[in-house]
Amino acid sequence: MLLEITDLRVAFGDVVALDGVSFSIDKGERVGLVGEAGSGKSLVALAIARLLPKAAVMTGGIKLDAPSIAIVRQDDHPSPDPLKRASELVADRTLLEALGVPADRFASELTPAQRQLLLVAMAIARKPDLLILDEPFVLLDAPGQRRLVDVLAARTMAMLVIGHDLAAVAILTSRVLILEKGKVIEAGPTGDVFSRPSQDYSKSLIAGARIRARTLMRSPIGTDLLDVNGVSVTYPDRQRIFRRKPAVTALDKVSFTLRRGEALALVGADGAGKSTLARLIAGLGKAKRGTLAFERMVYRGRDLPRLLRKEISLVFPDPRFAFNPELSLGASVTEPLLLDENHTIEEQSERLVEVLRAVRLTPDHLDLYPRDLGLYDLQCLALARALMARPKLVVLDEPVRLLHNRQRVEMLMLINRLRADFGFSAIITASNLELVRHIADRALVLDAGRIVDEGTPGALLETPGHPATQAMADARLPEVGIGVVAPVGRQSSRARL
Amino acid sequence: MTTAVTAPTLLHVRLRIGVVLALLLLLVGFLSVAWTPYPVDQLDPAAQLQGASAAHLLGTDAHGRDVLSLMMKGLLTSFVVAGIATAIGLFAGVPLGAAALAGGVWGQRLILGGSGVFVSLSALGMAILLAAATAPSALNLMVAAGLLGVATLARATCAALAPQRGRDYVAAARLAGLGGWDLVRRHLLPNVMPRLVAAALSFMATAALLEASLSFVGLGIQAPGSSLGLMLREAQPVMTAQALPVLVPGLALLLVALALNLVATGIRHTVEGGRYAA
Repeated sequence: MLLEITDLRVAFGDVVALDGVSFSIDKGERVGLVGEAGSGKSLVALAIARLLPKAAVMTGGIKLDAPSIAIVRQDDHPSPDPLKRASELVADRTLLEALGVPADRFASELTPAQRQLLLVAMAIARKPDLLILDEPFVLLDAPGQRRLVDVLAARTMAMLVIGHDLAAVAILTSRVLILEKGKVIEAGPTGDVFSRPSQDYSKSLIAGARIRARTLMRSPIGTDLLDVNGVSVTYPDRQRIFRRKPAVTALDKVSFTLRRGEALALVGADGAGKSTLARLIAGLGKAKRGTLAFERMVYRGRDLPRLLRKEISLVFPDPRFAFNPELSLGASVTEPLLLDENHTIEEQSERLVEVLRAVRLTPDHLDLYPRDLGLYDLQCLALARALMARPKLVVLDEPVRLLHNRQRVEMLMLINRLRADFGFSAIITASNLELVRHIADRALVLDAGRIVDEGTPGALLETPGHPATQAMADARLPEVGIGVVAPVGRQSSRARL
Repeated sequence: MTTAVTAPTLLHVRLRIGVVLALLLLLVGFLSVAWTPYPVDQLDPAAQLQGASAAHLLGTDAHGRDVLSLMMKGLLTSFVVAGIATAIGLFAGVPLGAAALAGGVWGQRLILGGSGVFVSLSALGMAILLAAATAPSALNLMVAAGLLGVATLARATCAALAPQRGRDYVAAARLAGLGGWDLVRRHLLPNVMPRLVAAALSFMATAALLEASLSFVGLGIQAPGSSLGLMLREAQPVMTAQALPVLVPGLALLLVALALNLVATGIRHTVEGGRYAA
């Protein structure tokens, strides 16, 4: 046995965080550890690596018979040495290429997702006997996830993969443990556990990961609402001491039309320009060339007329940063009402209650501060804020990216329901074509700032026309819980070349 | 997910010590407005350079004045001068720092560059210039230290605001039509307030030291007035005969600077380490 854990207990004072966890990992075996936030997954990893915080009291046995282990901890800001190039940290260039990390860039120049991949590459390159990965997929876009899964699947070292992304865990591991409130409630071969879970909790966890029905109540698609006409955005060149870096083109002559009542998805990998476009439409940033027109009123970004500001709202990807930490949530949520001063206090509070009820929250939440709530509830409040001024268009920038599997599905269904109730048009950005399939009528595929493909999400997945779309389609991971869990093939990576 | 554990750390202890010490010194200083053991303008040649005794707890200086009384008055001067300089700095520096940020690249170059000149000139140089133009006085001292405060706190404000400005909550406020001073007041300032308070307190410590050093070289508080720096200046020639008149103001000055800096670093660390830690 490479690793043998018997009756591991970790407590913080009176709070028991891990309660009698036992499992083992054999040489070359890949084990998954699944559970929701707060179930104690990360503590298992930290305990093995002897990195538990000082305040933790640990009992039980961890027998580690591995000469070397590597751990990549969960971190919102993965930070490999910023002063080194990726190729200096990982000599194996093919590994970096397979993960999509630019080898000649300094770590400080990489996106958080690329830095995360670089850390994993550093861990792999050391050829440890046991590799522990704690939520390695969280920061990645769908193609990035797929690349990492492919790279990991081709390795022979033993792994402990911790994650809430069931699809990735299912495809990587042969054995899985489900953790609930510090206890292992189910364990067994991954295929068996995911297709025939025995405990209620595992059942709900696995069922929740599957996207169920789509709502059918949509308002009929009508006349043009938003017209984007040849929009280009470049970021100013970052000036260095001696040489100027060339300007970065974020959007390149993008044109499309959104009709009334339509839900349009902007899909693309990280850096394709989705967020720039979403923010531009909502009135942030400025188009260098081209114009936008909302109900025939022309604007170029931040010059969006005040009159129109209440007609368009934006939901940001990370709700933890979308609310002022020093302002009560009530004050933040009602802020859009400043745009429309003709309301009495009664009307305002009526609207607030209505909107809160729609996202299934209560007025009690309004006295809280952002730090008091979890991601899902915060994102619901962000939706509530977006609906306060009764906009005709809601722009949702990666609304489910940071959410856990089950919450993702709930959020998508909530967005569908809100659309039926409030009748707004929607623009949704995502890196995952599969996800938007359930909420969008139409999808545009963005690649390097250009629109390269268009169609219904379903049709794009079935018959991808452009390499970027193909990459999106390939990035799909098989759904968990349906029949056999297929082993990872190499065919997907070849198809992209 | 790691569970956050909050335990009274060394930092909290430091912060508490700093606050208690600063308040104590402030109290001693302001007590001198109403009461001192002896009047400080009363010379008593008979009681020159005495050591600590029941009558004079901290001894007497070369003119026979009570060192404890002088120190109390000196502390008051330290706090008043440093406080007014800091107030000037906050009053002009914070809007200036915010304006620098709003002014884009050129705004920052102009305001930060200009304040950089002030900071590098040092208040000592400024006080000499001011003293040459007018006459050395407490007012000069406050103006010189205040100008330094404006420069220092404008830079601190700019540095504290810059990372906040790119946050999505600010973008959300802009979408709700907020801009300019409204945005700064409602969203930005509350988020950088602890940092600004910390910057102001550590500047206050600098200003207290500055007041003492300028008075020591004769460019600040003049003879009938009282200042810790002036006490040091007057006691220096007789240091070998009696150490207390030097030790007492020196130690008092050290404690003022120490207390203010303890509070400042305590605040800084609490904000940075506590709120967003996983």
